[in-house]
Amino acid sequence: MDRRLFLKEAGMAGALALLGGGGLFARRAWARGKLEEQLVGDALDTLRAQADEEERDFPARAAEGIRRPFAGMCLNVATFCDEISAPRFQEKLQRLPPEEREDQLLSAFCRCLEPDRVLAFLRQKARDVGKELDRRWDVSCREVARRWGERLQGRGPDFDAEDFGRQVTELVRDSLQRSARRAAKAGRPAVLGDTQEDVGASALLLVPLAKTDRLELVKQLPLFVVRVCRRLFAEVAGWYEGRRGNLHKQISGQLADLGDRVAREFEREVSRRLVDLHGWQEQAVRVAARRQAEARVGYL
Amino acid sequence: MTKRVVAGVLLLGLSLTPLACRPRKAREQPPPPANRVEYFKQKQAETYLPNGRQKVVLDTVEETPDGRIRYQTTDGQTWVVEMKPTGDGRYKFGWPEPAK
Repeated sequence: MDRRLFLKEAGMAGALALLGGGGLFARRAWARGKLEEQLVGDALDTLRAQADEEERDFPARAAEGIRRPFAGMCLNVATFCDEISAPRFQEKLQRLPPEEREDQLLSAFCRCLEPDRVLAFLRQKARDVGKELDRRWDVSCREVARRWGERLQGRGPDFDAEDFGRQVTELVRDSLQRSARRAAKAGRPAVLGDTQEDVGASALLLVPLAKTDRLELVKQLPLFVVRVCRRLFAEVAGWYEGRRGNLHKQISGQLADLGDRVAREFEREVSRRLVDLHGWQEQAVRVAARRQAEARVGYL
Repeated sequence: MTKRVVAGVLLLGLSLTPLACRPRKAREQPPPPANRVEYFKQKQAETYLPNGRQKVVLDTVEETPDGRIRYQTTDGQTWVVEMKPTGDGRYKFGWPEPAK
């Protein structure tokens, strides 16, 4: 065989082998993609229905009772009024620039509100609601596992539902911890802190804490509370000093509104936390589907 | 004569000094009012509460057997709240919770 013929035939054989290999590779990628898509479709039917229901009902449930600390403040408003109407407090305020006046009012408010009790209350709420979220996630995982088990029948070993549940829950927990670490690194610590909670409660406790260098007590409150309070005290700082009339009535009215605003803001915050949680759950199921497809679809 | 008067005044001053410097009895705080229901009504007559600026319906205020205060708000909800004496003649109210 001459050299030219040899090179020609070797080239053709190589091209055929490459074509065959490429074909097998493409077929495997296509079959994997298709199976992954089917598995994700099965899972999303279940997960999305549940996510919609949770995003609709759970924020209001979580916010139930959040008005109680503010109702307590309203009942004790006389103490707060005495503190902020005391001549010494007023003199101090008048010496300060406007933004520091708000800080002083906010500090006085925090002394009456007992931030550590508010935080303990939020944690307990998150645990109660989180427990229910975890229970529902468990039910969803079983349903998804049942559907995947049916679809994967005859494609390799039996599908292990328990292992699937553990795997996706771990993936959700990883996403959650990554998010908490990112926030802490960016100087936005969350109520969750370093505590170990279950997934549902942890997701809800990613509510950011207030960030301030000046006020130690305020730091212990969630950011959404402080944001609403600041708006109120900016207003109060402007009007309460020279105002005659019933300070008790005026301030308790403002605090009552504050309680309602905080409750609405908390509902929004819980909605945001739930959207994140559902995103992580969906992502976890996608990863699990890809792993199943990779494990069960070969070249032939 | 003048010396005697001066000495007398000095002696009197010296003898009265310990009296003025004696440790005073701490100022006693008035005890909290005995009638808790009346105290609550008096303090909360003008108070607004959350859930859309509710007010306490004063006629519904009563003490529960466990020493808490039960009251209704203008939206018809019933609440119970703890009252603890603060030692300065007043009470501190807890966080109200819905009555069962």
